[in-house]
Amino acid sequence: MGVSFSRLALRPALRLALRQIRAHRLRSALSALGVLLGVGSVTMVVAVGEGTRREIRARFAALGTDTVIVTQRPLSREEGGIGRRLHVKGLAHRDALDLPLLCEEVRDVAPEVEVETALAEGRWRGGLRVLGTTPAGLRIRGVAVVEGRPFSEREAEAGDRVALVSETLWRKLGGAPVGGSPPVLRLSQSLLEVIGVFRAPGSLPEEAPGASSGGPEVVIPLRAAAGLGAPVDDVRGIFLTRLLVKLRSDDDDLRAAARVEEVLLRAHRGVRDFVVVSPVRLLREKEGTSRSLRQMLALTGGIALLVGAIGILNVMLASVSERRREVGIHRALGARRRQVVLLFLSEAVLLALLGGVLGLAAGAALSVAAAHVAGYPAVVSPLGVALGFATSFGVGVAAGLYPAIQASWMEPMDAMRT
Amino acid sequence: MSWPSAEPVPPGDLCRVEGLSRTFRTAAHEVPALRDVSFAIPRSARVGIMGPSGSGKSTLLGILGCLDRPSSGRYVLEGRDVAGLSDDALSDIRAETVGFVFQSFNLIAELDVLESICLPLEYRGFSRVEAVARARDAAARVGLGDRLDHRPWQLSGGEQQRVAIARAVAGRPRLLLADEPTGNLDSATSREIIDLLLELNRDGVALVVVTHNEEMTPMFQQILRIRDGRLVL
Repeated sequence: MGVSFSRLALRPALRLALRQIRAHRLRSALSALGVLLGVGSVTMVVAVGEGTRREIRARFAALGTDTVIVTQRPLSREEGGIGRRLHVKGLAHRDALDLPLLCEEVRDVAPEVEVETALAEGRWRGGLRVLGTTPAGLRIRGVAVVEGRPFSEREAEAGDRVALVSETLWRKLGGAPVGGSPPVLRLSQSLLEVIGVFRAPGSLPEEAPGASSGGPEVVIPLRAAAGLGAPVDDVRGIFLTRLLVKLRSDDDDLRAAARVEEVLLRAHRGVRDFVVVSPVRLLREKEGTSRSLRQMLALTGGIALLVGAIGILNVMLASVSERRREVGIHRALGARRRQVVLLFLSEAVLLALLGGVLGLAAGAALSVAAAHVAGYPAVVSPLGVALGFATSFGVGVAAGLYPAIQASWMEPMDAMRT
Repeated sequence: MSWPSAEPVPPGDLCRVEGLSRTFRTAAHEVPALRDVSFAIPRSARVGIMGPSGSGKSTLLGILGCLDRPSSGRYVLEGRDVAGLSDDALSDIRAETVGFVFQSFNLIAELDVLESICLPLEYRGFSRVEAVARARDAAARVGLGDRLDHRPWQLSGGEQQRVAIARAVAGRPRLLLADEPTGNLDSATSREIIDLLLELNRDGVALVVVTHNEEMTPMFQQILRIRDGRLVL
């Protein structure tokens, strides 16, 4: 027998369901309470999870979530001994050059070295954060040159003493450093020709070990950093503070990070003198801190949903037996069995949705409150709202189906006689 | 006010009952409610079903209205043997061909007059607009055109029965089944309800009325007297 919905009348079913709920306000409210608590808890679980995810994404926003950061890891004395014996001395330019060739998940690599130096003259004296990188690195870091030009591939290759200066520093120096044109930046160790001014790039996630507070003030070609005192290995090039590794896609950065780690570990002869940080790894770590809260909420939410479903089931069973005669009337007026199913199912679903909407509101309010008071990152997202609706709809269907089918299988004459 | 039937009435019998029996089975024993009943109802007929309580009148009415099926024998409605039809098909017959009026009115408390009358039309698949238009017609026809937003508890017994009648005939059935339609009404109101039923019958619907009321006998063209589940002549 084919199922036809052409004769299903939703409107009268909903109308009757709404009036039933209104006619039994207290009973309805009590039966919706479980769903309220359940959906509320689920909303909070999702909100906290989503909040954590957003936080991570925001931290990686400047770099993009398709980025993996590799940083130096200080070795213990024992490991250091092994490292020296194997002639492994940490991240170096060589790693940056080899990684895209050895690891197909990698699209591009930015080698970065950070050097602390000082201005040699001018009214303003103080430590200066200098970043050595490559033209690719400029792109990956999001260094936006707003005046002048970025340094070229050739200048980078040659290690020319050219510099990009941050807008802030440029302003502090009064627009043009002493020395006239071409503008020159006098550092304690050397002179750099200023070729451009950049707007401060987004800072690195603070979890990335070795990330200095505040962005770089001067950006120079990586090779030029050697002249500012960055250590250099004859074979492997300049030692790096970190690698910014751009992946081909962010589909599976966990696997890609593992792959990068594997390749680097082989290049470093098994000495783990680096740390690989990826968005998902960071997320896993952060999620760990709110895991117990979310687990507790999920557990109570699940129990509340179960209790809520039983509450609605109970009310619906009562409703069906109270309304036997009405079922008979509907059948006498030409309602098919599935119309009777719809009649009771819509009442159960509306009850559950009522609880669900209130639960969403309560959960959202509590999430926001928790975010303010306890500092949990919590975001009520469309996904969370959709999940809340879907959950309550599902609970309504699950709780209403049995009583509704029971009602639909009443013999019309028997039902009328009651 | 004239109220023509939707379709021209074909000649011949509207329905036919042949050797019909209905037995109710309980755990302990079988209770025969109808035994070997045979008769035919012509189109646009006026038929009374009379007999003492428990004689099987309501059971017979239930079978005529396709709310129930015979245990044995045949019930042929508009040329179709009901025994072979699915539950959905029987529901559709109730929606389209049959109208019910009950002693206790059987209105749904949560619905107002207009919504009550719309209900079977919506079950029949009419659009909302069409259903409302027909329901308004039917309400006007029974004299309740100005009470459309009243709930059952705001209406008198006679008015409630009028709503039930409007609900039964709004879809223009060929068979109107009434189970003690005046049983809960005073005599003046009963008279009005009977007149209304007769008026509807004149427009073409066959009228089958279960009643105790001997005063109603003159209105019937045919009376089926039932005793202990059997037809007595």
